[in-house]
Amino acid sequence: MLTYALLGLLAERPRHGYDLKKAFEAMLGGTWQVNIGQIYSTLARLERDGLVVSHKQPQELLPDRKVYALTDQGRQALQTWLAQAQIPPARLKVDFFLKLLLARRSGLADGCALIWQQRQTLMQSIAELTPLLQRPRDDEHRLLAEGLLFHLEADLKWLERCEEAFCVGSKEQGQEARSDRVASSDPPPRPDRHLPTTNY
Amino acid sequence: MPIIETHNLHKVYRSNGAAVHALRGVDLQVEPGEFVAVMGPSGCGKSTLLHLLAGLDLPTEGEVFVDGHPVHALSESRRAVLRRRTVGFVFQAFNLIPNLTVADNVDLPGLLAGRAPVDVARERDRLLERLGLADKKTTFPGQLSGGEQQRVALARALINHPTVLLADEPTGNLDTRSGTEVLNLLRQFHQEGQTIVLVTHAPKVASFARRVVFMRDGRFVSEMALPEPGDASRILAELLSIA
Repeated sequence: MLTYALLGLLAERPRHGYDLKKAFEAMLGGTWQVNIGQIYSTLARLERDGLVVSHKQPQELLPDRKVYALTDQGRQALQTWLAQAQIPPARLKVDFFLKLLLARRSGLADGCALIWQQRQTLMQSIAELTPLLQRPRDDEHRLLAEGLLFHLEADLKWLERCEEAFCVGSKEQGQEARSDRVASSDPPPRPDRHLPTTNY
Repeated sequence: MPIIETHNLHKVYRSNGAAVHALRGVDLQVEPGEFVAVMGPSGCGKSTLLHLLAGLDLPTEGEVFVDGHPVHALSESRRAVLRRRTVGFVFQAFNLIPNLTVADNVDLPGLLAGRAPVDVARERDRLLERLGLADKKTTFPGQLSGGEQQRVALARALINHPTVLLADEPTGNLDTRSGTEVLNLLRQFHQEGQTIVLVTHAPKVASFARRVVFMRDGRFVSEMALPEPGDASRILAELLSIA
């Protein structure tokens, strides 16, 4: 994905490696830090494949730096990629579901308690994201937040289904689990985050 | 001392001879100044609970105390007084009176509570100003957008300075933008000290509260405190990080 991001940024204008790093990070609102080494290795591969070309730009007092530009072949590769629909990746939280199944089979954890704990984690993320909905409608961060919120809401809906399947009919067990929680004054351990893996 | 306290609350409805157990032993405590969301799927009993807190209905078993009043033991007329003085209620469907103006809708609970009309009018003007409705005083509810109607309903619910504001899916009939507006107003009133209990099925709505209680099949199953709204870029980065 970084490959196409670099091609896209070079389609605007020629840039050097550090400029590409800055532009990429700014595009995603500083949410994704990318290693400069990764940028250079990607550029080297793109140059080898003929998608970009570089020329040395002399600098006062500093060593020359390489400025990269898109080739026709690179522009074509970018256009092909842009025009393709994304294949929807599987987004089910397999690791959480595995915990749920194993909790039931092994009897070593209460499945309902796992579901409730997971729900709390998702709710916490929702609460942290909702302030971004205050931003203007065309704000890029807000769009990102809206996308993530839809995923979190879908995950919560699915947890309701899990709850129906695992907890209905075992209400007494659920009640016990609850009184355990209430009895302990310690906050629940912070669970692993099983959050949407987004491939925007 | 909690401002709302319920003990082992049960509610059984009878419909066509069949018993529907809407609440199965709910214990809720709300401290003064809290903003609590009760969240659960439809049919979990959350609206029933809110109606019992407001004295709109009586429990089959158990006790409800609101601001020290034993709501479960009050007569219908005493509960009506409680609803006017102690509790403000916001409904999903706004429930404004269509043939009264905005001003008259907001004034009504104040006048019913026996307050001086001039005080009520002053309070109403202050609230309508605050809610961005100063120029709608003589308008009828039917001429307002959904978001405006719900803001009028909010003014009506707050006219008597209720100890507790109760809201039943207050954004359920609103588009995202006016829904967020109403929720922001609730948050502002909370920050000024208003105690609020809101019920909803929607996670985004519940996330405006500071404590969320999850309900299922007439019981509370878990609860959590929510963080102060802060810098969202940390969570964005975390959710976006591609492992």
